[in-house]
Amino acid sequence: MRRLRVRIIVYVGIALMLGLGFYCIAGLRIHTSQLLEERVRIIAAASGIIEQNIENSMMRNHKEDLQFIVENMGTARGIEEIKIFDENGKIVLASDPAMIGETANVDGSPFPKGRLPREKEAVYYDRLRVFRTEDGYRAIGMTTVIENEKRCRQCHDKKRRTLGTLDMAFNTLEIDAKTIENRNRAIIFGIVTFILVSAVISLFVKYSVYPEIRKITEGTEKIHSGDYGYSVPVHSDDEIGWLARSFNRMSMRLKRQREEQSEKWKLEMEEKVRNATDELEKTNRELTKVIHDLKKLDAMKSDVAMVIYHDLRSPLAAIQSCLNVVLEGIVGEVNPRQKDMLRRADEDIDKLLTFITDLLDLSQIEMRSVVRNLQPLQLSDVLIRTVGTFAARAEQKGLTLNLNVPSELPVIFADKAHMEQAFRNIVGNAVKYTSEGTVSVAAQEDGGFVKTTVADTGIGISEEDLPKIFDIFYRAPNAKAVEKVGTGLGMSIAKRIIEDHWGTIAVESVQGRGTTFTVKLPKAKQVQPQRGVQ
Amino acid sequence: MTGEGKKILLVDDDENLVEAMKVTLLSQNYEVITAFDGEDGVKKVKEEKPDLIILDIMMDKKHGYDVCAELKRDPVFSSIPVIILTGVGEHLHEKEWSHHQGLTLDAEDFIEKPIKPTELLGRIKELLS
Repeated sequence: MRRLRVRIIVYVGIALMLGLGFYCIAGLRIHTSQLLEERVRIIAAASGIIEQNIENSMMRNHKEDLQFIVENMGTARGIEEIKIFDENGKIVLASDPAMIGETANVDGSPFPKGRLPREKEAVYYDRLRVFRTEDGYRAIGMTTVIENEKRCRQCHDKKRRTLGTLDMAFNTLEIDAKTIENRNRAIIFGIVTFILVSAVISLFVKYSVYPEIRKITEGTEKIHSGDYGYSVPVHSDDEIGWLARSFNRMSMRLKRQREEQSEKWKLEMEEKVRNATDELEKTNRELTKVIHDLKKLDAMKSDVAMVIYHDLRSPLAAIQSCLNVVLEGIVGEVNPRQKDMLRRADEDIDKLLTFITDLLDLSQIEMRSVVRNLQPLQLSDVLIRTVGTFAARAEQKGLTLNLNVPSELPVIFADKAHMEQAFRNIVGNAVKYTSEGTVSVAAQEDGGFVKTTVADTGIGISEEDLPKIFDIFYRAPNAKAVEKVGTGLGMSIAKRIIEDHWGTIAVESVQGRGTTFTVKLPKAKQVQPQRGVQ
Repeated sequence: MTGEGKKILLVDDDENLVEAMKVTLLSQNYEVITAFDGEDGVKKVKEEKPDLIILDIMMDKKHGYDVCAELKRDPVFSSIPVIILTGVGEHLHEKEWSHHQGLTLDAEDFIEKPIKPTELLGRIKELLS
């Protein structure tokens, strides 16, 4: 708003200045020329008297009188100088004695040096010329040739027709001073007028135009913020009023358009939502079917695996049972060589059984990573149970089996059967590859995780085998040497299970000294509960 | 001898396994009856009223769990001790299965396959004493 005010003031100011300036200049000019004319009239009268006196004195050749007149009149107020030339243009008398003896222009013009008429000088009464000197002063000059009249020539200088040339210059200092005074007054008047007008305009804009424009601005803001249909209460019958009415029309139009648009959008959105919902429902049905099929497939696979498992294992179990019956001498004495052969057969059946078990475990894990039964789980229960199943075996081997697990650990979110399997494999390996010393299982909370360590004092793993121990079917050479039976699946199954549960498994080992596995599983809060298909 | 007068029913679909157990039990003078599927097993229990039953799990016609559950529900036979035969590590899968079926198993003991004669005889003796 300030800008508008300033702009209006500047424009009005410029117009005012131009007008006032023009008015003042014109007024000054008219006034000055009137002053000048007045002056010229006075000078004309004065110069006539002076000329008459000089002429009389010259004709009578009263040189003292002449000199008296020139010297006294020359110092009179308003008269700049008086000079008298002879026929040859030489100054014979002058109000300024220093000029006597000087010569006028070369061409014999009666005008003295510095008094040359200008082109645009004004001439009054055929004798008075108003002009500007080369120094820029305005002056009024009068030059006249004084002739020896006929009647005078009879008794005076009879031959001479021309007595000389009289040149007088009058200044206009008074007029100039008045002009300057008037000009200054005009300037002061102009400035005062400008300030007053500016103040009036400023107040007018502030109290008359500004509030209306502000109302329109507020209206624009309202529309901008979504208040369509807002009407500006400005009713003045001028450009701002017209702007306000135009604004109100636009506002109403916007409102109507908006309403139409909203209705359209609403319909479109409803349509879209309906389509999306239909699509979603369709996808949902498809997904449900996929889940159903997957579950069916899983169950089928589980059944198939169970049958294969049973049918492969059952004959083997029967063979081993028969072997045991023979070996234990139930059906008669067995000699040492026969016993040895039977034990070898038994050993290989063991290998087969282990292999079948591990393979089945792997297939089960792969299946279950698709369909898992995740639930809040107390890992200490799993560990106590799992370690318990190895108690007899450890005792048989003369190992100390330490279990340092608090009864309450933070709950994890996991599939129970999977967890049991993973820890069975890890602890089982520790027991299997330790011939003396201890196997220690410990668990504790560790930040957002439950950390379980399984440490043994067994054969250990060489540095080069360490990175491979989680590879499928990989068995370290020293492990093979200790235990012939083994598939190299146990640790890869364990790793897969742990990682499927957002956990990590790490191993540290020194060959010949022992191995420590560290398993970290996130606490239940840290994983999203998920069920079924993932 | 140890097994004098005690009648033991073996229920398993693997004849060779049954034979191995039978030989073992006979060596201790137990009286042995055999059945090769679940239904036959139930029938034999009702006919012979054995002193102890050794029961396989995975069998045709009738699952070991069903046989066990049926017998344990029947007040006449519920007092007969049952030893369940399972494969190595199989008991875990079986338990899972039973959990899914909502069954609880009231067998007196479990024996893992393959049969070790000494172990088998020890368990039987314990249950019959």
